[in-house]
Amino acid sequence: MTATAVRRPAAPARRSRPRILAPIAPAALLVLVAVTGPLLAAHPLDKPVTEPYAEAGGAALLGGDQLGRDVLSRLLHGGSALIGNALIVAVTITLLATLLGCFAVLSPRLGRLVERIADTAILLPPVLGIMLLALAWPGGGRLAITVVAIFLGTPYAVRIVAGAAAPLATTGFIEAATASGERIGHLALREILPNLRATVLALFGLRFVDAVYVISMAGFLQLGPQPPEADWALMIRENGAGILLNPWAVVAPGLAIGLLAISVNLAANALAPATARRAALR
Amino acid sequence: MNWNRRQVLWAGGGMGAAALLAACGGGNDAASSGSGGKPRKGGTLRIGALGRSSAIVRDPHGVQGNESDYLVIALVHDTLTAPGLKDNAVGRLASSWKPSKDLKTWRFTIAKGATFHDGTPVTADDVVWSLRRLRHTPAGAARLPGMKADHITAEGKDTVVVVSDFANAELPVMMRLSTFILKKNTPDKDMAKAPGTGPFKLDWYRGGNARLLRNEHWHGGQVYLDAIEVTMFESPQAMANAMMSGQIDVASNAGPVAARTADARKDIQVVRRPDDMAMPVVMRTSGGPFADPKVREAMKLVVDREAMVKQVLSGYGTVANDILGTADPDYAKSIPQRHRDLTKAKKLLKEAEFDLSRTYELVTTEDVPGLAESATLFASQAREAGVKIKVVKQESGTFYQKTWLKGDLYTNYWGTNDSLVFFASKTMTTGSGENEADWSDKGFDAAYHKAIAAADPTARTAALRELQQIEHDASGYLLWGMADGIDLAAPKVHGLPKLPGYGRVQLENVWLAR
Repeated sequence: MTATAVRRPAAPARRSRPRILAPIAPAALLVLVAVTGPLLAAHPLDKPVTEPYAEAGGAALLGGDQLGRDVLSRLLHGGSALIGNALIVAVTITLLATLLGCFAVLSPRLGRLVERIADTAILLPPVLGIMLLALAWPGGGRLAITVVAIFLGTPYAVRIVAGAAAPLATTGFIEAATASGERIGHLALREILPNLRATVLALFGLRFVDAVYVISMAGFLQLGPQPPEADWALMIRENGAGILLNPWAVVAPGLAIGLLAISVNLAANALAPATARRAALR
Repeated sequence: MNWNRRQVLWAGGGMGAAALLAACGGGNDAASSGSGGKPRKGGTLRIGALGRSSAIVRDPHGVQGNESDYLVIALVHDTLTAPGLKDNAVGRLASSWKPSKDLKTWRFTIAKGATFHDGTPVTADDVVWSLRRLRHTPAGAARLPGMKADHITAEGKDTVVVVSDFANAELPVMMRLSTFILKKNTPDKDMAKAPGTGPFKLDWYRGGNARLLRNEHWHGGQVYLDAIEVTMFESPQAMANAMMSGQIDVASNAGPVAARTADARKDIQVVRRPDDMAMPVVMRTSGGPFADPKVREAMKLVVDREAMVKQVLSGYGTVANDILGTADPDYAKSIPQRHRDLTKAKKLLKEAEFDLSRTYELVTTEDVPGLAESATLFASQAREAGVKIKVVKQESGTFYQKTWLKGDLYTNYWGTNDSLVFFASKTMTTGSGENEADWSDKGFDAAYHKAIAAADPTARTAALRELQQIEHDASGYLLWGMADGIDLAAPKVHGLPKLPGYGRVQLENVWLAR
């Protein structure tokens, strides 16, 4: 009885289909372009086609980069790795955080431990963590960045899930299940988790944006992908010198990263009910 | 308006303002046209140079990684000789020199009237002490090749005798680099502030930036500027931005991208100094994947030199032929230019049984504009011949500790390119101090000794031709091109150095128009 009462708020909040599609469309379109980008690119990504920092127009629609390579082609090549990487980070963090968070509210000892670790990790800026790892693991590349992003993102996310799950743990249906002798695993995965769908979805959206931010920052600091890779963040860094000659070499990848972060956040917002969104942002 | 500006300049310069006022009273309006004119005394030159605070070296005999430190040291201290317009070596602190018949014993005479900034005259003892100190530094063997510290002695008050281990007609050329002369027995802790003999004296130095004042009594002649302010910039981009916004008057070694950006601006002059910078790819010859001469030749055939110059240097440079020292009068233009030949390269790689399945690391830094870009483009060109190269960027400090002189494949740069013998003695003869490719070739060593022992110019040219042929064929250097040195300057700056390499820091002839 109590269970239905808790689950109910999710159902009436569902909006009509077109209103959900509109905010999702930009993200879907951007991801589609990024994934199919390499097929659409007119030029190879590592061959010069024009003079360095050539102005937009002619052979290269967005001009040339530092070596005269086509900015547009590199832009189309550079998205899929970033999106894939961010996706892996976001999925892993969300999974880990959901599991840990559900267990944390049921086991006070685990709960306290998670809280302590999270307090420390939230204070540690990601850039510091990335630089520490770059020192300890030179040449780690994308893998190293992914590990750092997961490692530093998870504690915070666990706290969000635990925060959303805490009220559930004290509700009657959980207490009833506990009284009837259910194991902690059953309680966490069968009783609490299904009530956290909205939180998890919102969390995923936010983690994705955060992962884009962390991975781009690492790319800009040249700790992740190495030249001649066509990474959006790396493009911003490499072409900074010629910004007055061909602004597009810097502005285009910058816009792409910004659009990706904004559009995915928009989509996640649209998918998650308002109440859960507020909880996740808290 | 002009009047006010002049007053401001003098207030900044601070020295002898009244005398200058009188001197300029006659007026010289042509000077401001930008086409030269009569040099005018006064003013403060604000110059930007590259450097990192983590790499600051103040000892004149140390290895200065920072352009900014080198600039300050070279303005405060004099070397014995310096590069000149016509000759590879002209007098600086030494006014003249004479070899013995066997070209082993050289006598250098100190310039008349040369004094330190504190007024004491320069003696042969000071020079001997400084040269010996330089010789005892870790890089000493490379800087004074074939000269033992004990074989540098004083003869009277103004003559220094250097006895070389072997006949060396090029010894004065070797005396150009870092032979900064200090007062005898200057303690190591006072090196940074020690008085020099140069055209400017140090006013203050703070964290890479410095202010220098004119040395009124410089032995080399009239110095026009009242003062020079050196500002250190961590990146060429930051320096170019400061230049564009008028915070500095000269951006030293700003790079081609900054030059192209400045081209659109009428209020900035671009000074090009050809043959300024060599950016070779170094291949280890004593071991590793490039030990086989056939592999090295293949790599030299793989690179597309024209494309490198066009894409990496934006065309501000020239194609080179794997021989270092391109501005030497004896540079062999007759050796055929190597061109890209992928078929031949592939054939050579096959003959040498080069492992094409492996990925080779090319280590590079971002120390000078274009260096990392050259590595990236070379890697992409090599892929066309089936050689997989991965570019690894290293921070400058790490590079010099771990890769330089040790790595299998790395990019490097040299800022002095007017002497074949300079490179041969420092980087290519067997056991030389900075043998970057760890190369050893009996024929090359023989040609080198023949060249430096030759008193007769024709014999010397012939020996140098042979030396260059061997270097072209077998050395560990892939030299695809030479970058122009590019300085940006405000229109009022005149008399900027036109010489490449060390010449760029000779600012004693610079003057400012109104």
